[in-house]
Amino acid sequence: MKKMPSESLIQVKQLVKYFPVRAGISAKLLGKKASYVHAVDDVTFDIASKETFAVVGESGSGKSTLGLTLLRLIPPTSGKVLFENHDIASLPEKQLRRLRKDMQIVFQDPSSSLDPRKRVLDSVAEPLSVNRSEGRTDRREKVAEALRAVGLSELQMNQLPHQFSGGQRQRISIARAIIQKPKFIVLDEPTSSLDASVQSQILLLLQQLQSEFNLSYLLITHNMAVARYMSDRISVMYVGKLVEVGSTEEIIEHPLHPYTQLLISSVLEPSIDTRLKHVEGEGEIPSPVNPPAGCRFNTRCPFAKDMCFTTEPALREIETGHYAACHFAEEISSKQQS
Amino acid sequence: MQAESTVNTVSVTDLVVSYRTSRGYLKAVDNVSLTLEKAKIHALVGESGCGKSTLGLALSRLLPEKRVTYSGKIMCKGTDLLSLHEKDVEKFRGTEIATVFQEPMTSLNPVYKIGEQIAEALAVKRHRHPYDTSSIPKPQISNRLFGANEEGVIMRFRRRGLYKQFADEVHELLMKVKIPNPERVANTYPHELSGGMKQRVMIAMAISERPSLLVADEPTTALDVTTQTRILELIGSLTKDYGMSVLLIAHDLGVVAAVADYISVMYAGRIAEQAPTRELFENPLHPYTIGLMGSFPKGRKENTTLKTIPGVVPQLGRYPSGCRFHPRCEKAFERCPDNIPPLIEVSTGHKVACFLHGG
Repeated sequence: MKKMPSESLIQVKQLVKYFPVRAGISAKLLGKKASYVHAVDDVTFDIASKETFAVVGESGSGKSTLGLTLLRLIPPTSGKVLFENHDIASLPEKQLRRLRKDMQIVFQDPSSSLDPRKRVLDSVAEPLSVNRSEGRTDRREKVAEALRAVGLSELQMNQLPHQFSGGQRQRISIARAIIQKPKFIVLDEPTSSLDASVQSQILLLLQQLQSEFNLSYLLITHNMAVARYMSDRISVMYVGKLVEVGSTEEIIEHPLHPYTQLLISSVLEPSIDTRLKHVEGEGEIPSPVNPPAGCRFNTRCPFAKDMCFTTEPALREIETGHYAACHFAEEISSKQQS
Repeated sequence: MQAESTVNTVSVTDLVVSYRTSRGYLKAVDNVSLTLEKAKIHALVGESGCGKSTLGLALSRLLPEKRVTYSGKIMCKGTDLLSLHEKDVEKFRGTEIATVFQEPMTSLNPVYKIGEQIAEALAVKRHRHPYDTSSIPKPQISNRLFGANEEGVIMRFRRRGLYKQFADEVHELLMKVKIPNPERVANTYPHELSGGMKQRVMIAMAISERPSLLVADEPTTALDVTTQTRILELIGSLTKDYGMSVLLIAHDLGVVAAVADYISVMYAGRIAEQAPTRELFENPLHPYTIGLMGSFPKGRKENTTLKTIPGVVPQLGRYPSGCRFHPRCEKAFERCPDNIPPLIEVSTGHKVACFLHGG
């Protein structure tokens, strides 16, 4: 997307992930065509090293599937994911495993991503044993180091997950992600299950780890305020497609796609200026099994014209580094500038 | 809190709710007073485990009576709900005080159509005896063994009949919550509707008897951000139209800022601060309130400092002594660990429980 091949750590090219919908026996007998969930549909972007790239969207937009497909935790239907010029999507398992230590993931809910019967030590050390790299004492030392890095005490190493609060558990899963000193971490809604006061602690921690270990993040979130705070660039996803990509400032200050505008206006800041103003954009996200023809946002878009129901808008560069997939993006852009 | 009793629909005075546990009685709600005014939204904000949901449930005595003890007063229409016999509370539940819960999917029955469920709620509230269960024979052992449940079959027919009987009212209610084609929606099952639509259905059921108080317990937490604003809009307009009071329970100060008229901030079972919305945001006094506001990411990391509250939210039963916020408070001093700060009115309608501001 952006032309900086020397710097980009990850390049995603036309990534597609369809899930087949299991048809009932009656449908099979009637010879109905198999249908698919278009979870990720032709997505292209790149992430530079040390960059935070946010993917924002509502539930059902395919953003979590994108994160999982990117790491080949689920195999993509088609497309390429280049990680330092190795194609993760087609690499044989053995070689992929060697790359795995550079790519990690942190999930939304730490109480389900940590094994309740495993000590913190064992959970955090698990990536090490997969890569069979360390001896026993070395292992304890590395875990202690990772725990200190996320602000926990190494004395808590032998405790079980239930002895920790939600925020501390998320710290443990972050420790597990960083123990092998990866280059890239997918953060899938890392703060969504946490309380407000704890959310900010985790955001600060992630920020500090990024500069300490030179990490790149793919931050998946539904929260525009979190994306704005954390990321260098934001992409907006809607029913499997990226509808807008650009620098955080550009996206927040000059959103070009009506869906991005809707998302930004839905941010409720804790301040007296946040009284509800009615924003256009009725309805909810359509089913990714049969996405609407033309622009996928046409069912909710307050500005939809005939063209939007027939032709699908392409994601194209409207201003330098700012891409949008709306037929009227140029128009909106020139209006904003005047 | 005193005077103006004519505009108050429900007032809570010195409410204590304790759970009986193996470690003795634990006070989940500790000495809380609230006034809920007509046609106003009173928000109750706090983090998980602070007792806000317990308080919401206590208002219509929905907590298991065997394991809970109450003290204090909940006055509604001149009656103290806490002094009533459990059976008499029924007269208030759903009709005077209605509740909407966080997760609409678990509140709706997945095997009945929307219309049937709303009709049933209407029937129950109207007559309180929708089906005379005594006339229905108890299922025979043999029936149970073969999976036939006569009661279930009869109920099913009754529900359909009820929907026919109340169809017009059901459609009207669905219109009130701005569901575009009520006839179609009434004939769908819950799984066919989106989260936002389901929450609208729950609100429709709750407002059917024009309750004086609607308790909305995190009504938008399970929803997407765009749907969240729609539901808040709806709650806001219903409050005005129906002249009911709303107790909006939320963990998100942004949600509260959007619609509330008055805010109570709760921490570890106690009220930390109470003020009208504008006053609270312009002049927050309690360090916890200030901390909560500061922990919202307002701008970008390059040019904003994100504040945090150190430590973790204390769990029920492990509450610290004195001011319960003192271990996490930057401004704590000698008095805080040993003395409980009283809730003091510092300016009109603005109360705070902190030794920095009197007490």
